[in-house]
Amino acid sequence: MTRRNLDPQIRAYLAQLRQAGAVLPADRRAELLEEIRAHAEAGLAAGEQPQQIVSELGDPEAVIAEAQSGAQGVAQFPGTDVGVILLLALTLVFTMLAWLAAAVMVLRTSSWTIKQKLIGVVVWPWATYAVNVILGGGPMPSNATGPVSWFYWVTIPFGNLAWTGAVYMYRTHPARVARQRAKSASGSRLHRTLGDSFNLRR
Amino acid sequence: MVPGGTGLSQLRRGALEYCVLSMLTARAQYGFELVKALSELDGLVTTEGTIYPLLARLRKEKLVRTFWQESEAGPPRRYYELTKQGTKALDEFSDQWTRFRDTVDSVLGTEKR
Repeated sequence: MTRRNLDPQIRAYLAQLRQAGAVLPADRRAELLEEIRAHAEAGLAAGEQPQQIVSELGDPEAVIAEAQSGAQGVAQFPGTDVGVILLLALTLVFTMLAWLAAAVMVLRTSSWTIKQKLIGVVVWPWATYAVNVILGGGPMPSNATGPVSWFYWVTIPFGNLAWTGAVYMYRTHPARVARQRAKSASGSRLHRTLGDSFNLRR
Repeated sequence: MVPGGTGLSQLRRGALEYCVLSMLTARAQYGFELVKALSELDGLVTTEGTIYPLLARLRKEKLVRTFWQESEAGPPRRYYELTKQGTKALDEFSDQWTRFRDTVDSVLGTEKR
């Protein structure tokens, strides 16, 4: 408020406090400085001498040390980290489930050709892989760095697991197996083999 | 630092928290008047500046809350007042403090001094 007119000694004290307070979170430091300044101004208004005010406030380092000791254990929010991890895990799980469901639907449909099905099912893991290679800095997981690297490690195995799982579940479906056995008498060997794996339209 | 100085300053620091709460039981106070009232007490506050971080901590722990109020002269003041939680914490401390004080007194033989 009366910042420009503030006594030089008090201004110097506040500058010291601001400097020592660099270790504090910005909002805590700003609030502390504001409180100490209000205190000094109230002291001046009450007729105290600047030197007395400053010496009674005490060593700026001690004030900041007190603020730091309070910051530990109270200002930490472990819940936030847990929340973020949980959210990521949920996103991952639902992404996998969504992909799995999509893969199963693609494989089961009779309106797609085998080529379309393969593209539809395989593209996602490989697109992820490509993104990882580009952003992560290399074709091998060991080359991947930064926030992408964990994504790399998780998406590839999970994507492949989901893909294999989808194919396996589809192939072993009893009604399908019986139907394919009846159909596979005709067509090329490749078509028969793939026809057992996928609902191939001929 | 004299031997035992750290222990005493720790004890003072721990007790100061509840002295601050106790000063707010009658009415809400703004920073300057609260600090001045505390530093008038013998041997409790050595550096007035450290009261403000303490008040910030008490507020974070929801033992006190703050509100702004206009002053007759000068800028608005931030007042501190006790919460229900603060009252409860103070009552609990007061009970335990009495027992603690008596125990220490009986061990040190300082009851009759």
